[in-house]
Amino acid sequence: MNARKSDTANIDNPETWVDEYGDFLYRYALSRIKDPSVAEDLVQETFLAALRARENFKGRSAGRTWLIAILKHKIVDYIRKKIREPSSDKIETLSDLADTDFNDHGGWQIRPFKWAINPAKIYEQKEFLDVLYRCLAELPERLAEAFMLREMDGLSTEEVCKVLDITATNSWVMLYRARMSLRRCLENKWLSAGQ
Amino acid sequence: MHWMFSCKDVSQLLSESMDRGLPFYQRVLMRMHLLMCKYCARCREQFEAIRAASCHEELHGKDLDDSRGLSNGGKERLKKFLENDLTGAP
Repeated sequence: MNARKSDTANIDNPETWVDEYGDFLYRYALSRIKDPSVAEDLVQETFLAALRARENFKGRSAGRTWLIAILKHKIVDYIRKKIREPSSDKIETLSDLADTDFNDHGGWQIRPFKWAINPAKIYEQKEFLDVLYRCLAELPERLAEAFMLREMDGLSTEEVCKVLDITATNSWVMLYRARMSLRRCLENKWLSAGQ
Repeated sequence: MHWMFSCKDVSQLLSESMDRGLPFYQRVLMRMHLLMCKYCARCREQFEAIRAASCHEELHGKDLDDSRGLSNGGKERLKKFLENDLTGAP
């Protein structure tokens, strides 16, 4: 039995879902939502939605990919609800995050280094991925949410604006700040580690 | 924004171009700047590397501590929940 068939067979068997996919889904949820109890709730909601939609699955994709797609929606729903509550790091307080990169004339204060990395072969760069993950964890919460919705979940900027209840201009500023912060963090932590 | 873009302007436009289509004149001036400025060209490469890495599945669901999975109690709760839902138990 190949891996794909085996994965589909697992999906046909909800009794095995917790052992088969539970940890992976939980870690995924925890990487976005830092609260373990919320992460567990989201996994539960994902399994429930999967149970209801099981008839429509029909093995069109790997079971894990299908469950992750459901979980992503649950995470987005959760963030959307949470964002209605006041947030501590408003965009105004983030305004100077990227300014330290440039001098008064808009030239580079600290010049970007050449990264010995091929984006097409990023999967070979395990250390780069590890450091990027650590850098993501250090981003202010709102920036991290905007960045992850856009780059990891593949939402359009319009969708990001709806989820975070921000204007298009704010979303571009936040994504810029996030990319600049990640760039700087990677230069400090990944390059200084000798790549 | 002045007609000659600064490196700060270009870094902003590089990021924005990943999220929306830029007006023609901004694209042209940005490309001219990139031809002349190797540091902004590096910034573009870095943004692209970050985007490529963010799409990678390895990053998804990965936690700093790989042992951080569901607790045994959490697994039992989820199994019970699924079982009840499948059998229609309350």
